[in-house]
Amino acid sequence: MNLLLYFGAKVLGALAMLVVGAGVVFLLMHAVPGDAAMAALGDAASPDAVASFRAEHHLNDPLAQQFWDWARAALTGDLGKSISLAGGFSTSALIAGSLPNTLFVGGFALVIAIAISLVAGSIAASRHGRMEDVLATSGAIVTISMPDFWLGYMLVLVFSLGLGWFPAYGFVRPSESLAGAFHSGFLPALAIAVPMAGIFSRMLRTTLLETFRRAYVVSAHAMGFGRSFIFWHYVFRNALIPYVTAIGLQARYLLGGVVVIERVFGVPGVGSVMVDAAFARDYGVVQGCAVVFLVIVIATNLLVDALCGLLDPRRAA
Amino acid sequence: MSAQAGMRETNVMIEPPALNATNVLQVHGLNLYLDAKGRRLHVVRSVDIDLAASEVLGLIGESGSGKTMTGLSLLRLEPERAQITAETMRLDDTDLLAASQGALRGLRGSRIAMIFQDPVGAFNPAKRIGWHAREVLRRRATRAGPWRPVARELLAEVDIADADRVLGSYPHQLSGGMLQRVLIALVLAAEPQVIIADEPTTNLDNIVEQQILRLFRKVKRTHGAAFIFITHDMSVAAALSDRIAVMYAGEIVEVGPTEAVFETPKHPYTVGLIRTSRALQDGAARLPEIAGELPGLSGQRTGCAFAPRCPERMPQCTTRTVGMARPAPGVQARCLLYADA
Ligand SMILES: Nc1ncnc2c1ncn2[C@@H]1O[C@H](COP(=O)(O)OP(=O)(O)O)[C@@H](O)[C@H]1O
Ligand SMILES: [Mg+2]
Repeated sequence: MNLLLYFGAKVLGALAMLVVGAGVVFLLMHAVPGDAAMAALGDAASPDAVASFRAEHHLNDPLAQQFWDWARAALTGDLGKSISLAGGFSTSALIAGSLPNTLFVGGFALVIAIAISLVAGSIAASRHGRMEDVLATSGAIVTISMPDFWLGYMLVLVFSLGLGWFPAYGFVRPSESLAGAFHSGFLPALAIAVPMAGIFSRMLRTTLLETFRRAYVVSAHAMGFGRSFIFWHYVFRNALIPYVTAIGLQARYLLGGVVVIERVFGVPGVGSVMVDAAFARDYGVVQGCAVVFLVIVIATNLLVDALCGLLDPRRAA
Repeated sequence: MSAQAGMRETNVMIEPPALNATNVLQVHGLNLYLDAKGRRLHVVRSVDIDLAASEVLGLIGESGSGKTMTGLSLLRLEPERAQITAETMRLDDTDLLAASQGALRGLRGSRIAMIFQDPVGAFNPAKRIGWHAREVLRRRATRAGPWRPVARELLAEVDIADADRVLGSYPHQLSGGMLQRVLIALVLAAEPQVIIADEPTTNLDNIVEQQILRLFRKVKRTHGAAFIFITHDMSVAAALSDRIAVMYAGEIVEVGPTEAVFETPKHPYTVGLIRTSRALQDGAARLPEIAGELPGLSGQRTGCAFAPRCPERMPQCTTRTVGMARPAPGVQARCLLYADA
């Protein structure tokens, strides 16, 4: 019951955040200098053509009216049409085609980062102050300070151009071949994952070390529990709550990384669509992509809240 | 004089440890050093503790005097950056200094147990009480059978009627008094020889404190365990203890039978503590507090640690090493007022 209330409140909060966020995206897009009609038709377009283009795309309506129309349509899944791509692709279709690729690479990166950090962070904390700790901690600092695009090029240099293990460019859609997606998505995912793994490892190490000092850990020792039992059931289990929270906070940086890395590796994801559309001043598409990213961030936070609610019995109280 | 009282008397004498077979716990010359921000603190100083089977020793002293560190040392749960030295440190026939980590884990919770000041902090916040009971009873229970009936039985012994509700609760859902009862029940499950209770009622309100103290008296009657009952509250110590040891700045400054220590305290520090406690009970508006504060714990000490605050200070108190004197039968006091020469 308490848990239901807790989740209900979180979902309402997320919806409110979505509305406000979408409004902000809309306003920002319309504050950007540069005329969409000129961009679409070219600088040499006749005033008549520009006027009819503006009328056709409702660009003369008041801003609030435009937002309302757009939001209402968006709720039914209609995010408008591309004005830069020939054939007038619908934004929804563009996103539907690219979102699975982004989710695949982003999710793959997250899994790699979590896996690395669980191992490195646990080892560093349980070997506090010793060789393993120093290695893991300095490794984390090095990886955190690597720009992801640079890391991407380095990975390509070594693993595809040098060793020939992975393709240097291009991505096989997971719908075509899952194995192919894993193979071609590995380097982009790794490039995103490595700096994140550094952040996550340090985070886990810190919370583990804090948890080691808790009174309940001393009490568990006094009860005669074994070392590994105490580590897993007391220390790790309780450190998991701040760790999951910290991962949730990194979600938006993950998306930033995805946008850059999609360009480097030629992954046809939402980030690529968004960057192409931005260069073409295709506001509708950029806006749609931004909203998709907003939804992803909010959904991630909701997921993290749900996980924390399950992990921490005090949370829902 | 009864046989038991006679035995108590021999307890406090420093004898070759091997000869004293009746004591479940024999500690002689226990020292604990802590590294705190580059400084080496001598937190526990040449402490002797001899505990007979089923005896209750009250360990009293103001906050920071080293009571908790002494208790943790006895389970060898001293902090990571601490060093322990001792001439003797035996639990029954086990040398606590030489025992391996594995052997110590086998002793903890089964032959020597500890109850902590903060009952809420003693439980895993992510797990229900039933989880704790199951894990403890699976490893430690002396009674046969599945854990749940045994847990109900143990909880009944600590006067918890609705055992199933308690077992199904998370620690944060229960009161401090309830959690302390649960902890006592879990500790009793293994029938340990020695139980160290570190200010187990300090964080509880007055009524609950009285209930828990009653529970300790009942446990003392019904179980054979010896207790070290740590407290800074003289009246609590008096209510439970057979003997009292008074700790000051890492040292035991007086030890003796409870009546003797309360009726005729010898060490000026004990005299001050008891005066303060009596005034508290009488609800005095102004407390006759002992002036000054605890001395630092770093480095060597010449003379008596209490000398700067002592109303009876003599010139030699700050220059001579002060050993234990025997001002009365069974009583020892670390004070030059009672020195032979
Ligand atoms: N983790 C620690 N680091 C440094 N000093 C400590 C630590 N824990 C305790 N001490 C010091 O050890 C002394 C004894 O502490 P403690 O045994 O907790 O006293 P008590 O239980 O009598 O209040 C105190 O003076 C305190 O300053
Ligand atoms: Mg203490």
